[in-house]
Amino acid sequence: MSRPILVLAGITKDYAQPGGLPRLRVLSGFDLEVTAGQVVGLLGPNGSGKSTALKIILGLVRPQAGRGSIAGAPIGSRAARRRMGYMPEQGGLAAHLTGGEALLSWGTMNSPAVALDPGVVAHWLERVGLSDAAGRRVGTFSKGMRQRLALAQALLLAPDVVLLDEPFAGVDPVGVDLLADLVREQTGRGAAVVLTSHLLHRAERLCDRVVLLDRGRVLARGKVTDLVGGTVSPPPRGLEDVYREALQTGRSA
Amino acid sequence: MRRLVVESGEWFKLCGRGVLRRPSSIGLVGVAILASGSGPFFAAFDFGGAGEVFLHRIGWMLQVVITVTVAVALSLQVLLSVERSGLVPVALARGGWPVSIVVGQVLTVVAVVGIYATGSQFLQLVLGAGGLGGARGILQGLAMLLVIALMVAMVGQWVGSFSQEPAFLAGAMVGVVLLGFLRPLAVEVGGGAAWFAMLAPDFAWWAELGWSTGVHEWGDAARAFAHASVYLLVLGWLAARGMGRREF
Repeated sequence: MSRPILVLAGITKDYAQPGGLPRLRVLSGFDLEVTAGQVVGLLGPNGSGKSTALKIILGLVRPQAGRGSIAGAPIGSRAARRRMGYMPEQGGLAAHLTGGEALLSWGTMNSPAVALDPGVVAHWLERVGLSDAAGRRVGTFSKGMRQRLALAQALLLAPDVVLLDEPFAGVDPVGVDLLADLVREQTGRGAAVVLTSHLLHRAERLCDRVVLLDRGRVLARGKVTDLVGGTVSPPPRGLEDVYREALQTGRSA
Repeated sequence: MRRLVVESGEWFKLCGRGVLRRPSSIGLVGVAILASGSGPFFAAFDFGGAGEVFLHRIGWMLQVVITVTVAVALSLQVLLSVERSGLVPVALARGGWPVSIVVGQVLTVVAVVGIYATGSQFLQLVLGAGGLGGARGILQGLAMLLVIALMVAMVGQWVGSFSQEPAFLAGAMVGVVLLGFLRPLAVEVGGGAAWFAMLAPDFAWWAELGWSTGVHEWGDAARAFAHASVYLLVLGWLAARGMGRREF
């Protein structure tokens, strides 16, 4: 097995709460290893800690304990950040720019080369089906179009690690197919993909491995095929069934 | 260094397009140019006696209030449009430099306020204001407005990095502008307030309109410029540091 490109070990994060309430623990001793070419899903309901884990990888949130690295560079360092592409759950696009300007501006800002080839922008607009909207302002885009543009932005500079926060939210079935194609394309060129989702049935199709989270704790982890291969629920069994069973076991433990 | 320039330039373009494509921003600039540059037009009316003095004072106060309000409003628009786009965390996650974001925003504010201050002075020239419309007047008006706008942009970013609340951001910036105008008061009170006076830039002095009419000399202008520069550098550093340490 190849060496993991992304490693998190013993990550713990809690937040202060108003009104003198005790600190809220959102991740507790969280570990993660992702190798190149893999798609890993951090799955669970809202508040399970999956987005916080993603932001810790990105260096946007600092953990109280634990450490992590990307290709050997500590998380939060510039060297680690330069290897990542990130699609946030929402936002991350300037509404007053056109689709083409948004990608070109982003690419120029972040490209290792000073001048970004406009052909790269045109390629990605076409790839996500937005060539016709290249001259339209992002503020006039539908939610699905924004998601596709944000995805193109995340993939524009061929990052080694792609982080997608709730990529299925508000996306129609055609958009999900496009997302699946693009993710497979990325893993095909050797990138690692980490995504978060509360839509387990959609993530199930795309992920090689999943980590099921509940209130900051890992309920189950492993290959999707291994997890859904149990016999507790009658077939056809899916990740949602696995999650419910793991939740019952985990909470009663 | 080259990357810093490229990154800052892209943020400048991004923020600048935001101003140019927002009708309210263009409207604000137009209103400010008309308001602050229209003094000579009203001065032409001869009411005579105490009534004229009173009207002149009211008119001057209105001009200052509108001018400063618009400088603050434009700076806020630049800051908040970037904040609301959610671009900052995405840029930082990719390894963008906080300082380049701050520099880009500040350059936008400088450009917009530069246009506004120059337009205002040009209007005064057209309307036939003698000394105020001269080169010194243009420089002084530009410098005063720029210092205000820069303070708003940088302190706003700095405080915003702690609060993440646009409303708090706005309050903090208005507070900073007030602090600048309270400097003369702090100097008078002395003691515990004196450190404020040491830190505050000399834009209160710029507002006195003494230099363009020859009351103050080049040495005074240089001193004021040096104070303001040091202050703004410290604020810029705090803003970039605050953004870099911010959690999203």
